[in-house]
Amino acid sequence: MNKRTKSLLGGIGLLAVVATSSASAADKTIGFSMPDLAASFWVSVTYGVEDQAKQAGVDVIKVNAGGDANASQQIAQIQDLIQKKVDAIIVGATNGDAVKAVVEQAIAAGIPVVGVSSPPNTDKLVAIVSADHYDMGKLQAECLAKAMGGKGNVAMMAGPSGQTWSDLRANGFRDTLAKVAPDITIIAESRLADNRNAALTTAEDWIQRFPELSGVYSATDDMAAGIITALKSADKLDAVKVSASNLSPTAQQLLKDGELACTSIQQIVAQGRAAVDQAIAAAEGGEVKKEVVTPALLVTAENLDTVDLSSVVAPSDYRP
Amino acid sequence: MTGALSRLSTSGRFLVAPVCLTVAILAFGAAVPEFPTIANAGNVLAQMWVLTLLAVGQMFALLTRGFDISVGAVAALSSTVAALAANHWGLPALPLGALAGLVCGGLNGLMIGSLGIQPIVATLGMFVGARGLALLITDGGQVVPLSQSGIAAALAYNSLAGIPPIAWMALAVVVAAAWVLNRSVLGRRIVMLGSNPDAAWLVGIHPWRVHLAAYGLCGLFAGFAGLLITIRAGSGLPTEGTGMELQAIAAAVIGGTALTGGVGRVSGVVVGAAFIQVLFTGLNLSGISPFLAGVAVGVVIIGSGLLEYALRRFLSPLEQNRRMA
Repeated sequence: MNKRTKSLLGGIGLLAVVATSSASAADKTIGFSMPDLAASFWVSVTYGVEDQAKQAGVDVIKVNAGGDANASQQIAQIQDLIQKKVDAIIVGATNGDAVKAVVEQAIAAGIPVVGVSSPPNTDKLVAIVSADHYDMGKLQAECLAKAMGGKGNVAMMAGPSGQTWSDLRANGFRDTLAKVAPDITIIAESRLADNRNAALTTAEDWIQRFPELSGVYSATDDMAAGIITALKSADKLDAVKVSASNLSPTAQQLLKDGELACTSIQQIVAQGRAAVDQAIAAAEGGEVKKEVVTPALLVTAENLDTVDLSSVVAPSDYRP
Repeated sequence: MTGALSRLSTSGRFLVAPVCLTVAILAFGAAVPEFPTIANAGNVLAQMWVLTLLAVGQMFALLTRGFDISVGAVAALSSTVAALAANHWGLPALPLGALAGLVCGGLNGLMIGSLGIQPIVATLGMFVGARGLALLITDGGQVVPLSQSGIAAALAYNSLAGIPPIAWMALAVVVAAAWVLNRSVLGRRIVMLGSNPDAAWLVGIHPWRVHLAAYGLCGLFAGFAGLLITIRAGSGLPTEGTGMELQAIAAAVIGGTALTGGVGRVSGVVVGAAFIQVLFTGLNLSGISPFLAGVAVGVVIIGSGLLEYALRRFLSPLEQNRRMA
C-alpha cells in the first residue's frame, strides 16, 4: 500500500507543477526560444528579455533547447509556441539553417519573429538584434595599437572559421589597425584554434616562429587565457601585449593582474531588452526597427571597477 | 501456473504508458487552455515520431537483453548522409541516410553477436565513431542545408488528414515494425533469444544472426529518425541527437519493454513515446521555467517506473503469495 502511494507521487507532482503555472491575464504574451540556458551568455540575454517584459507588462514564455546541438528540440518548442498562439516570438537559434523552416511556419501563421544574437537564417524576420562585432574588433585594434606604441608585429587568433561573429571582429580589427597604426604588421593569423587549449598550442608555435612578435589579437577571452599561459611560460609576457573580447571572470582577473591589455565586450542584456522592444512593437502593429545593433564597450584595468555592466551581464542573484 | 503469473505481471507493465498518458493529458488539459485543442493534438502527433522511431528501434535491442546507446549519434550521421545524398543526387536519394543507419546497426550486431563484445562497449564505440564520422564528412560539424528545402518543409509541416506527410510515413514503418515483431519468424526468434537464450540455442537458432538482425533493425530505425530530423530541419544535422538515446530507452521501458529481454510490444512503445512528447509539449505550453520542466520530466519518468512496480504487485498477488511461501 505504502509503495502504491509512493508511485502516485510522480503523477501528483506533475499536477502540482502544472497547477502553479497557469497563465496570468496580461494583454500580450511573447515566446522566447533560446539555444542554451546553461551558457552565461544566454542567461544574460534572458535577464534582459524578462526584465524588459516585466517593465512593459507583457508575459514571457521561455523554452530552452538545452544546447546548440539540439536543433530538433528547438523546432518542436517553436511549434509549441505557435500552438500557444503567442503574440510574437524571439528566437536565438541553435542553428540558423535548421530552424529556418519552422520559423517561416510561425511567420506564415501570423506571428512576427525577432532574431537575437544568432538569428534564424530567413529574410522574413521582422527584426534582428545583434551586437556590433565589427565594433568589438575595432576597439581591440585601437587599444592594442596604443599598448604596442604604434609599431611592431601582431598575430591574430581570429577564432573559428565560418562564424559571422569571428569574421566581423577580425575585419573590424584589420581595417582599424591599418588606419590607426599603419606601422604595425600582421604576421600570422590562425582560424583553427577556437578554445583555450588550441590557442595555447598555436601561441607556443608562434613564439618559436616569430621572435619579433609584440602583440596578439584574440577573438575571445577564453583563447586569450591560453595565449597568456603560453607567453608566461616562455617569459615573453612583458614583450607581447594581448587584447581580447568578452568578459568572463577569468578575463577580469587577467585585466587586474595586468596580463591582458584590454577586452571589448558586447552589451548582452541590452540585446535582450531591444529584442523585447521590437517584439512588442511588432505584436501591437507599431513601428519596428528592422536591424538593431548594440554598440561595444572597452574594458581595461583602469575602468574595470567603474564601468557600468548593467547592460552587459545579469545581476549575480538572477536565476532564470 | 507460472504461465498465468507471467501473463498477469506482463499485462501490468503494459498498463503504465496508457495510464501515464491519460493522466498527463487530463492534467495539462485542465491547466493549460491551449493544450486540449485539435490543433495541439495534431502538433503532438507531428512531433512525437523522432522519439518513437528511436524507441521502437531500441525495443528490438532491449528484446535481446541488450541495448543500444549509439542511436542518437547514428541518427545524426544518417541525417547528414541523407542531406549530402539528396543534394548530390536529388531528393529521392534521401533514404540513403537510413541505409547508413542500417550499416551502423549491423556493425553493432556483428560486434555483439559474433565477437561477443558487451552491448555497452560495442554501442559506446559506435556512439563515438558515428558522431566523429558525421563531423568528419561535414567539415567539422557544419549543418548541410537541403537544396530543395521547400519540398522538405511541405513534407514536414503541411497537413495531410490532420498530420504531416512524414508523420504518416513514420506511422507506416512503425506498423511494419509491429508486423516484424508479431508475425515474422525473425520477430519470434528475437523474442525467444531474449526470453531464453539456452532454449533458442537448443532449437537451432544462431544467436549471432538474431543479434545482427535485432541491432540492424535498431540502426535502421535510428536511420529513419535521422531522415525525419533532416526533413523537419530542412538540413542535415551532424551534431543532433545528444541525449536522445536515453529518452528512447525511457520511452521503450515506460512502454512496457523489459530490460531483462524477451518482453515488448510496439504499441506500448508508441504510447510510451507519445507520453514523453505530451510531457514536453505540455510543459512548453504551460510556460514554466525550463529548468523546472527538466526536473518535472525526470520526476515523472521515475514516477512511471514506480507505477509499473505498483501495478505488477497489485495485479499479481499470487506472485506475492508464492514469495511468502
